[in-house]
Amino acid sequence: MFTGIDHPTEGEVIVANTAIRHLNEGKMATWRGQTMGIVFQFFQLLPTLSVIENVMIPMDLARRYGLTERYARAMQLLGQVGMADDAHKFPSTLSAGQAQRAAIARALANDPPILVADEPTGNLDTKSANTIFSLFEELVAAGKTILMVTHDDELARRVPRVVTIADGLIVREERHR
Amino acid sequence: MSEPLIRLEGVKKAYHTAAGDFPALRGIDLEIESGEFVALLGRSGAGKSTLINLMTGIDRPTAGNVVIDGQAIHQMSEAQITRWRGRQVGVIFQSFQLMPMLTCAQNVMLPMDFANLYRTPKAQYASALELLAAVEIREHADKLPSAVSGGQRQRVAIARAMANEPVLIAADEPTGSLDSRTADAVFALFSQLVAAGKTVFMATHDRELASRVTRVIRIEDGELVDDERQPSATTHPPRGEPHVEMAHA
Repeated sequence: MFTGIDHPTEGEVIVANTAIRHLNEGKMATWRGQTMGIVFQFFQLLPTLSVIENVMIPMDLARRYGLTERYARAMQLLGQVGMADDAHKFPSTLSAGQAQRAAIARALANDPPILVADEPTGNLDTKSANTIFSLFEELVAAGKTILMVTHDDELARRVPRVVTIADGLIVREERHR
Repeated sequence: MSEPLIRLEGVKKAYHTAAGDFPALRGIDLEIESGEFVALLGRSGAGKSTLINLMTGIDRPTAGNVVIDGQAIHQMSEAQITRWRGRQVGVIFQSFQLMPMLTCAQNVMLPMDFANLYRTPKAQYASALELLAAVEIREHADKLPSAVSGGQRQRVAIARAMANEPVLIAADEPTGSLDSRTADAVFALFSQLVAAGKTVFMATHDRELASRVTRVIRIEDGELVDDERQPSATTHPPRGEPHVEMAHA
């Protein structure tokens, strides 16, 4: 619902001052591309494109950055997630942790204010999960908003706000520090 | 005689594992002419995907030559391979590999940027709609992949594979996730692409579908064990299949 991938039967979803159910499919795609970066449990990198090309995809579609700027920005984002040396590799040659870091760089491509992550560490070992989580902490410190779905209680303890959902209802909400 | 579209010479591929080197391909020699519709049959683990990955430059051979349309892709750098693939090859996967956050039309538009085709977004979108119309799902253009069926997703993937007007279409178990009726419809699309002059190389374990292509190659334990030509096999598509004009074929 947050990402506009699905629509509510009733009620309003308002994200960054936009009531998203009033957008048509085409407008929704544009809005999503500019407002939101999405990170998936299974990375969803395109196997036929190199890492840096995967990162450039959202920029090619949104056209917020010029052609020459896109490559430099993708390289800078890969540097930020510690993947600059792997920029020209193909996804099949990466570890799960590396693939997820590349996917995060891609989610940041258009500099969206919001990052939505659906079980981003669900397919990673503890060490890689920690690296990904530290990246998220850095992004929040830099002013991004992150909404992360997780069933990892340990990670959930380290975020400033935890919302618990059960049977389709919000049953608990906690703020830390 | 003219140069074949695909030429593999002494191609070997070994994977390093904890238990030692595993030879996935043990020396493949193969030539494929332009316009052929080839099915690659073999059990899981026989080397089908490895062979497709070498042909599309997704992976590199341990030894041997991979020459496609006169280009020695085993000698190219990663950046050269990506550029080459973006222009010359359309790849289709069993699991579709569509970007979930992009609409069907946007997924089809992806290769156009990398191949530098249709410079304006408007022209790219128009071309994507044409390709989606050719695979009969134009009305779903602005939907996300999650909103359409498996068969429709594979149609989007086929439209995407056609977007850069490639000389070769490589498909790895393209009907493996589809029910038999949907698989038939997807297969009919491939037949039409071949009829329009494209070369299709398809890994499959579906013998029934394989009986309907122009050439069947069988791989076992990393070696080609059978190579059979079936002329005119594609001239009789199954009954009841709609005729589709491939606008970009």
